[in-house]
Amino acid sequence: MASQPQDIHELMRRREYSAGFVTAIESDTVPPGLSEDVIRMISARKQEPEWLLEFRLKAYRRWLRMEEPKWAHVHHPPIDYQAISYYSQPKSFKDGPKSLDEVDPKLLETYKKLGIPLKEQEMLAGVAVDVVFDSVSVATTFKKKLAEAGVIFCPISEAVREHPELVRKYLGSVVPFGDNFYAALNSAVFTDGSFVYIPKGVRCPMELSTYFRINERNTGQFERTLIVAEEGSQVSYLEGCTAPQRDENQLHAAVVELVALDDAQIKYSTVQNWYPGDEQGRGGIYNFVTKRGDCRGKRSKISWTQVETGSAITWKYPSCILRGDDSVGEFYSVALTHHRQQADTGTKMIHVGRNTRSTIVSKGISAGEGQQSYRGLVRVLESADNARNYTQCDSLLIGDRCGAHTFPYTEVRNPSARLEHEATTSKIAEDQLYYCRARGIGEEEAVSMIVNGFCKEVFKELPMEFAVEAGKLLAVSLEGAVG
Amino acid sequence: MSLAAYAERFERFAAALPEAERAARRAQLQRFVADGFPTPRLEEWHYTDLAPLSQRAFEPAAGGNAALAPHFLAGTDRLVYVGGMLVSADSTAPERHSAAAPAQDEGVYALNAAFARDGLLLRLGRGERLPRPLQVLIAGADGAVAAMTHQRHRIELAENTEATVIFQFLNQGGGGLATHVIDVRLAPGARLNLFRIQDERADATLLTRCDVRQERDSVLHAVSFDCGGGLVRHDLNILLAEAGAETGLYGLYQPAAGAHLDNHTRIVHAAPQCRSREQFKGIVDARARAIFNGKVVVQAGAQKTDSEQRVANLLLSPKAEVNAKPELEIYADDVKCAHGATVGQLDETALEYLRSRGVPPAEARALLLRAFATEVLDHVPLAPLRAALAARLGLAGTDAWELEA
Amino acid sequence: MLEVKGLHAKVEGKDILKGLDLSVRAGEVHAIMGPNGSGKSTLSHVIAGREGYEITAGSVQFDGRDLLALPPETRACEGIFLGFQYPVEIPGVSNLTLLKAALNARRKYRGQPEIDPGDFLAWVRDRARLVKIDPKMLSRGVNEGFSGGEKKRNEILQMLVLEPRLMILDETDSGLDIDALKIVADGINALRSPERATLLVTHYQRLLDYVQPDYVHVLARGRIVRSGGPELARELEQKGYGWLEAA
Repeated sequence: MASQPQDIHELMRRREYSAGFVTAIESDTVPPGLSEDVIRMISARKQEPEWLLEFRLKAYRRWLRMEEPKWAHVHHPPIDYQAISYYSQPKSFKDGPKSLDEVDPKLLETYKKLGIPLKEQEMLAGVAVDVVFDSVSVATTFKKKLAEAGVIFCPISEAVREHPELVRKYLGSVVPFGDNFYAALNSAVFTDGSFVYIPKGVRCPMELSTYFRINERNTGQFERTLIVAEEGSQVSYLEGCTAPQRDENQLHAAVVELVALDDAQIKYSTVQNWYPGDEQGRGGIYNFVTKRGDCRGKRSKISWTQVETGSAITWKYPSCILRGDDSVGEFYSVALTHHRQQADTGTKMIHVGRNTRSTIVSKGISAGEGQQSYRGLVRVLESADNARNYTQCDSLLIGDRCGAHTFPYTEVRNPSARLEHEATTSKIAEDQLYYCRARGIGEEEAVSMIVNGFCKEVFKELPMEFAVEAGKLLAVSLEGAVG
Repeated sequence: MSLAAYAERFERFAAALPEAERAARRAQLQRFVADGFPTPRLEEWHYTDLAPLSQRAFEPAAGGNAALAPHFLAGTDRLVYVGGMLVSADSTAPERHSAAAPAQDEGVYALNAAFARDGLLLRLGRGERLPRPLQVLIAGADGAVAAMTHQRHRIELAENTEATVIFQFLNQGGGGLATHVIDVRLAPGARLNLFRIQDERADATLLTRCDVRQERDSVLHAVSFDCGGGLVRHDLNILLAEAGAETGLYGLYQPAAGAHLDNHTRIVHAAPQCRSREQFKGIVDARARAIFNGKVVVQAGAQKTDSEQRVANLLLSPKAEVNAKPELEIYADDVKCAHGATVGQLDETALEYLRSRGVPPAEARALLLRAFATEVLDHVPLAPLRAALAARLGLAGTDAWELEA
Repeated sequence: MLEVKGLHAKVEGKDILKGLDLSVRAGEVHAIMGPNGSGKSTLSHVIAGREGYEITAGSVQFDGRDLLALPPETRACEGIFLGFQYPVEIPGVSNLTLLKAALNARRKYRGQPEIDPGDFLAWVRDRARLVKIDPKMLSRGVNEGFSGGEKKRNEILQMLVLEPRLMILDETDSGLDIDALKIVADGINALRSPERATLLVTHYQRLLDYVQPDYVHVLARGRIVRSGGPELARELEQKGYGWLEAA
C-alpha cells in the first residue's frame, strides 16, 4: 500500500504542465542586450511621447546603479541582463490589433489551446480579456461594451497614445521608477500590459482579465499594468500567465499599480501558472514582480488574491498603502512549490490613514524539494489611529525534502493599533488520509480534497469561474502528492 | 569610520597582556575593525543601528565602586563585577570566577573577544547539583565616564547536573559600553535555569549574547527581564543538538522612556523529538522602542519537532514603537510548529468592567498590566527574585498569592 | 460474507491479534466485546485497511476475496464501512464534499455514472433527518468543531448515505448520552437487512439493548475466547471482564 515518500515523488513526477507548448509563429525579436539605444528603440516603436522616454531613461540610469535584492529566501545563478531580448512581437502584428477578425489565426489557436477563446461569442459571458503575447497586446475583447459604460480597458501602449493625460498622471505614482531593482528594470523596458480606468461611480459591468503568454525564446516579459478606480467605482480584474516548457530560465519582471480613490474598490486576482521548470529544476520562469495598490481615497478598498502554482522562482509581494481614512487592504494567497520551485511571496500593508484595516491570509503548500517562504510586513505609522490587522499564514508540507518558512515583520508606531499574527505548519495528517480512503476515496483525490480544504479561505475570494479553475490547477499540480 | 580609536585602545590594553595572548586577541580586533559595527543593512540588525558607536571612543573600564547591596538576593551565592572587575569582598563564590582565554568571534563580538578577560566559569561534574542559585551581578562603576567593559562567561554542565544562574546587568551609566558573551553547554540530562535581568541607565549601551548548546534530554529554562534604559541588544541562541532536548524561553520587556531594546532569539532544532516553547511579552510606553525577533529553525531530519512561539505587546504611548518578527524556517515535514504575535492595548471592556465594580481607572490599569506581566513572572520559581522583580516592574501591589509559584 | 481465519497482527512490533477466527454471514449482527487493549480496535482497522499493521499470519476474506491485498479505498468501494472511534477532522473540506466524493468513488468502482447533484443533495438531506443532523452542518468542514456526539452521529450519517454491506462500528457508543445512543442505534437498525451484516465493537452492553445482536464474541488477549448469544453480553455486564483474565 502506498503513501511512502518514494511513491510521492514518483507520483509528483507524473505531473504535466499542459501549457508548455510553443506557438510556431514568426516573431520580430530584437537582438539580446540592454542599452539606452534599446530603450529608445522600444519607445520609438511604440510611438511614445518624450516624457515617457524620459521616464524610461531615468529608470534605466537608476537601475544601472542598483543591486539585485539579496534578502529573499531564494537562490539562482546570476542573471545576464545582456543575454535577454527586450522586445519581441509576432510578425503578423502591425500597428496593433484593430479587431479580433484581424488577429493572426495562429494566435487565436494558441489561446484556444490554453482554454481562452478570443471570439466574443465563445467567451465566458461577462469577462473581457486583453491578451499579451511576448511584448505586445494582441487583442482586447468587449471594448465596445465597456466603452458604453465609460470604462477604458486597453493595452497600456494604446492608452499612452489615446489617454496620455491619465497615464502620465498615474504611471509611477504608486511604484516609483526607482522603487526596487526589478521595478526600475521594468520602468526602463516595459513593453505592454493593460490599462484600466473606471470612471466615477461606475461599477464595471464585467470582469476584466489579462492573459499573459511568453512564447519566444530568450525574451523577457516586462509588462506594466495600471488600474485607476475613480471615486465610488468598482472593478474586478484577473490575470493569468503561462509560458512554453524550455530548458533555460526566462525573466518576467512586471509592475502592477492600482489606484483607488474615495469609496472605490479594486479586486485583483492572479492565477499564475508560468512554466515551473522540470523536476531537476531546469528551466522555468523567474517571476520577479512588483505589485502595489494605493488606497488613496477614503473608504477605498483593494483586495489581492493570488494563486501561484508556476514559475521556477517567485518573488512577489502585492501590497497596499492604506492612505485614505477607513480604507481596507486584503491579501489572500495560495502558493504551491514542488520539484525545485522556490517562492518568496507575501505582502506589505502600510497603514497611514485612520481606521484602516487589513487582512492577510496566506496558505503555502510545499512538496518535492520546493522551498516556500511567506514574507510580510505590517507597518502602522504614527498617523494611523485605530489600525487593525489580522494575519494568518499556514503552511502545509508534503514530503520531507521541502521547506516552509515564515518571515512576518510587524512595525507599530501607534498605540491604538491592534495586530494579530498567527502561523501554523503541518503536514497532511495520515489519519485524515486514511479516513477519506476508508470512505472509498482514492489517495490522490483525498490529497487534493484535503489541500483544497486547506486553501478554501483563499479560493472563496476568487471570482466563481476562476475558483473552480484554481482548484483544478492545484489538483493537477499536486497529482499524486501523497504524504 | 574611526575605529582607529578602538585599535589604539587595544594596543594599550595589549601591552599589559601575556605575550601568548596578544596575537590571538589582535586578530580578533582586526576582525572587528574589518567588519565594523553592524548597521541595519544586515538583516539581523534591521532595527538596531550600532554605526554611531564607531564615532565614539571608550576607555577600557578598570573596576570601581558601586553600592549593590540592595540587589543581593537572599539564599544565593554571588559573584560581583563592577567596572568589568571582580569585587572579591562582595563575592561569596569567587571560585567561580575565571580569567577568560582568548576566543574567536565575529562582528561586534570580535571586539568582545579581543578585550574580554574576566567572567564566570561554572563547571559541574557529572551528577553534581549547584547547591544554591548563583547570582552574577554586573554593574557599572560609580562616576565612570565612557567606559567599556567586555566579559565572557561560560557554563558547562556535565551529565545529569542542575544549576540556577541569575545574570543581572545594572546601573551602567556615564555613556558606557558593555558587551557580554555567555557560552552554555548542557550535556545529556543537564538542567539549567538561567535568568537574565537587565536594568541599565538611559545612556548605557549593553550588548549581550548567550549561546546554548543542548545535548540529549537536557533542559533549559531561560527567563529574561528588561526594564532599563539605553540601547540594549540581547541575542539568545539555542541549538537543540540532540534528541529529546527541551527549551523554554520566557521574557518580559518594559523598556524605560527613551530606551531602544532589541531582543533576538534563535532556536535551532537540529535533532528529532525536541521541544521548544517561547513566550515574550512587552509593555512599551513613553518613547521606548522595542524589538522582538524570534526565529525557529527546524533542520532537515528534525522530525517530531514541537515548537510554539508567542509574543504579545502592549503599546501604550503615541511615541512608543514595537517591531515584532516571529520567524519560522522549516525543512522537515513531520513537525508541529506555530507562532503568534500580537500588538494591542489593555482590554477596554475589562477596564470598564473593573471600573463598574468600583476600581479606580489607574488601579484598574495597574491590575490588568500586572495580570499581563504575571504570566512571565510565573516562570520565576525563586521567591526572592520574583519579589524583587515584582517590585522593580511596578507590580508591587501584587498580592502574595499571585507571586506564589 | 466475512471470514477471518487465524489472524495474527502486530502494531509497532507488538503482537496484538494472536490467532483470531471470526465468521460473519449476510444478515447477521455480531457484537465483539472485550476489555481495553484486547485488540478490538486493531481488528476493526485491519479489516478497514489502516496502514501500520503487520499481518504475520492468517487471512481475511470478504465474499471470498482476499481483503488484505486491497487498499482501504477499494475495501470501502466493496462495501465495507468503518465507523471510527475517533472521527477525524478535516478543516475546509465540507461534509457534503466528502460524501459526494465517497459516493461517486463507489459508483465509479461499480461502473455507474456520477450521481446527479440534485439527487445527491436530496438523498443526503433525507438521511440527515434520520440522525437529526441539521442540514447547515452538512456544509461545515468534516467533523470540524463538532462535539463528540455530533461526530458519532456524523459517522452514522455517512454510513446511511453510503449504504455499505458490512458495517463495522468501533466503539461508536462510547461517550454518548442516552438520546444520542438511541439515534445511533436507530441508524444502525435502519440499515439492517438480509443482505447486510454488522459488526459492533464495544466495551459495554448498553448499545446492545437497542441493537439486538445475533452473536456475541468476547475478545481477550488477541483471540476470541468465548462466543454465544445475546445472553453472553448480559453476563459480561454483570461479571465484568475480570473473570476473563483469570480464565
